[in-house]
Amino acid sequence: MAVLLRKLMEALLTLICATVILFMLIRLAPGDPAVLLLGQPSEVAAMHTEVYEQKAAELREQWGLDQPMAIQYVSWLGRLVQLDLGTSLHTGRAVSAELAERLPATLQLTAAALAVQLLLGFWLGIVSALKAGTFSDQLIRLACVTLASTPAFVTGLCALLLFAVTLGAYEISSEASWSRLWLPALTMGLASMPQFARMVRANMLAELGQTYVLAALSRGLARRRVIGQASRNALLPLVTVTALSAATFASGAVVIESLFAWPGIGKYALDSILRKDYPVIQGYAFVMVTLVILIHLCVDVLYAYIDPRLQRKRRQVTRGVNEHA
Amino acid sequence: MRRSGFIVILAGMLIMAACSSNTGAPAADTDNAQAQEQAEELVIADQQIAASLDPVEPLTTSYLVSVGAAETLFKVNADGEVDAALAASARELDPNRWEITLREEARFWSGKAIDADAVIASLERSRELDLQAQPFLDGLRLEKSDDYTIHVHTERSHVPVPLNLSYYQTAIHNAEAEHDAVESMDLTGMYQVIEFVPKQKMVLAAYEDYWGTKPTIERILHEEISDEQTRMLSVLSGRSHIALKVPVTSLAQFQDSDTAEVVASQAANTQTIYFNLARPQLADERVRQALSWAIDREELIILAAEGQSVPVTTWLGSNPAYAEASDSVYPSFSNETAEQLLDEAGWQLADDGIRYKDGLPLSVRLMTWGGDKALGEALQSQWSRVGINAEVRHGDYSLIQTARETGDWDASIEAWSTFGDPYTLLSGQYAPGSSANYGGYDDAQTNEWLAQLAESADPAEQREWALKINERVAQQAPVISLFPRPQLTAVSTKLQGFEQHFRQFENIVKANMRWEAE
Repeated sequence: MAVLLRKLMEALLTLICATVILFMLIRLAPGDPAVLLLGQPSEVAAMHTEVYEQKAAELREQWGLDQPMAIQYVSWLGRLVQLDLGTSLHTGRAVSAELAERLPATLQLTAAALAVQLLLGFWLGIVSALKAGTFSDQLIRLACVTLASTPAFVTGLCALLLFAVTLGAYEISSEASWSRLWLPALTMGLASMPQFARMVRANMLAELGQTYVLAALSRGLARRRVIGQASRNALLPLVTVTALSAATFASGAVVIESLFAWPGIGKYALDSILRKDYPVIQGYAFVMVTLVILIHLCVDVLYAYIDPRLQRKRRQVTRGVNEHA
Repeated sequence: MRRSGFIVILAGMLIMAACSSNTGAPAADTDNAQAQEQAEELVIADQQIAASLDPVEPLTTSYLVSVGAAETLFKVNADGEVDAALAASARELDPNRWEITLREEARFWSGKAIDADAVIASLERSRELDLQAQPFLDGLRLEKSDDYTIHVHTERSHVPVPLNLSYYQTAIHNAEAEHDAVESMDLTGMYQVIEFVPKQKMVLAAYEDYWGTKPTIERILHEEISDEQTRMLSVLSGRSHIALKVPVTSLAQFQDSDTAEVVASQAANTQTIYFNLARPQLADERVRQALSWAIDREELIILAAEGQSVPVTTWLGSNPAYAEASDSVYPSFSNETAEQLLDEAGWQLADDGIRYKDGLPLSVRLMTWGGDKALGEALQSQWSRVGINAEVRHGDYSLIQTARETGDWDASIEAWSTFGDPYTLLSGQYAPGSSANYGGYDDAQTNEWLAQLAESADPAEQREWALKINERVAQQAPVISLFPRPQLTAVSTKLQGFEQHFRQFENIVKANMRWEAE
């Protein structure tokens, strides 16, 4: 319980630090949300300076941007405690409602991309380790290096050109439908898969070189069974990598969402950053930081349960404390 | 392991195949249904779509007018002439009064009559709540003459009221409606909004009781695809029928396409370099003139706009109504003239290829944003040929705004609309303290001519003053005009009836648009 409390305190501190830094950074960046909302010159045929300035000043006052930054932060924090993320400067709608509308699309894409990464990553990583040094291994490694060194937007554009234009097998639209999910998921999954496959390969090779594996094989245990056992141990550290990937996909799918016109929160956040829509950027950052912290907490808890060595160590420590007492 | 690999691939293929079909319907039926839907629905891919439904929210009316949901009282045709639209007619009763007659048969979507009271209420609401509508309604007093006649009193004489009321910001809407949901919005256009997801899509269906020509195409889907490459691919794949804001760099993609073609038109706005006249090197008129003489606009258009525009050397030159002004000053580029002017101004060429005066180099830092990076670099190259140490800084527009606020800038590129009331346009650019007079231009002669333009009663005389001001400014070069910004639209070859227009919001959806097979 003490460990959990300590973790929660750490999470809270991280959350506060992250929001303070972000709150300051977005306000230090050049650009006035009032001016952006009222229209940029090329969009406005004529403008009366005095009226324009007056209206811009009114908007800044209405949004509280004329207040010192510390007061703005405290005010935002006060609303946050009441679970109010504020109102978008651009659309005038509640940020929480807009995030809630877009979050499912992002989570859908995250889950699918993660599935692609895990399935392909495990498979290629294990095959590569078992066939280390062979042509298959070289081929997999070459494919991984090629994919890892190709930016996601290039892969995405090539995929769109092939599947949407040449083959006519994919529909480019702004909908988040199941029929449109596979291509962005594949692109995103393929972009992150090489690193994962390389880690699986390295871990597997390390595990296959362990004494217990050699001993088991020399005692005549079935190779398949031994490899199965070894892969369980090799894949344990990959839980963290998988969790980090999930967090990265959820928070950083901006390029893919924009490229595939996928209406998730990444694209929403990017648009808001361009428009300096402060409440949306803050709300998005808050949700994402919370999500990442939660994922890390879950990984910590999960580790304690799935790794028998940690459980054993904990029991030993507890026993030792009791005996000492 | 080989078997497990096969299973993984098979599973992936099955998932993909399952995902590719939305329903469990037989493939042929699904294809037919999709083909039917495709035949009826016009899909427009845009960089942005509306964020709200209220016409007084910034830019919302631009989208609503462009997709045929909202209408203005007047429209401007492709030749730059003002035609009646939601209004039946307009006539100037005296220099300070116009009479606008409305159409008795026209109705809002709710069935409410579009009478004088409704139109005045709409325009007053726009005046009160939409900052962008104010310049067009400023100095106009609206008075009901009878149920379907409005008298517009103007502070200035000979204000082109129909032109002012042709801007999308003056679109007519039911001022009593809420405009916060599809059900509560009330407009007049030939297409009625039936579904709306902010910043994602707007679905419209033909409005059955529309007063004018009923549109041939039944449905429109206006969707946001912000990535320009994806938008192009959407049209090339046949999914979208119109893609707006095609980058000039994408032209090659359409050269061999049977699916879509690019329609190019020159917008009525001029790509313009604005100078900060507070900078010592740019305060000298000869230096600014030299910078203008040193620009090879033909080459610039090839390098920065893929040849999709024409040179203009004065600001009004991109306005179709002032076509003769396009090259009235600096008719051809001349590095010799530029070098001569710089020599006269005391900027001497040194061995390093840069000109110096009192030990200081002749430097110009040009700030660009959006799609103007290539333009900035082409200018940098051309200016360096006459010994100018040019530097390009490309970034977000807010960087330019911040630089202007602090005064730390030399030059920047922007493109304002040049179509409209000449006094409003020219005073907005060149009167001291006006919003687009970034560089602080203040010329007594120009100011006097602007005052005369404002007081002028005769349209022919107004035109003359406008041309004189335009030419003087070009000669003094507080700004340098380059070319009209090219406006490229990718249009499906199946679609007929798409028209080029210098105001993009006027040309996207037309009632006579139809599919080729029909």
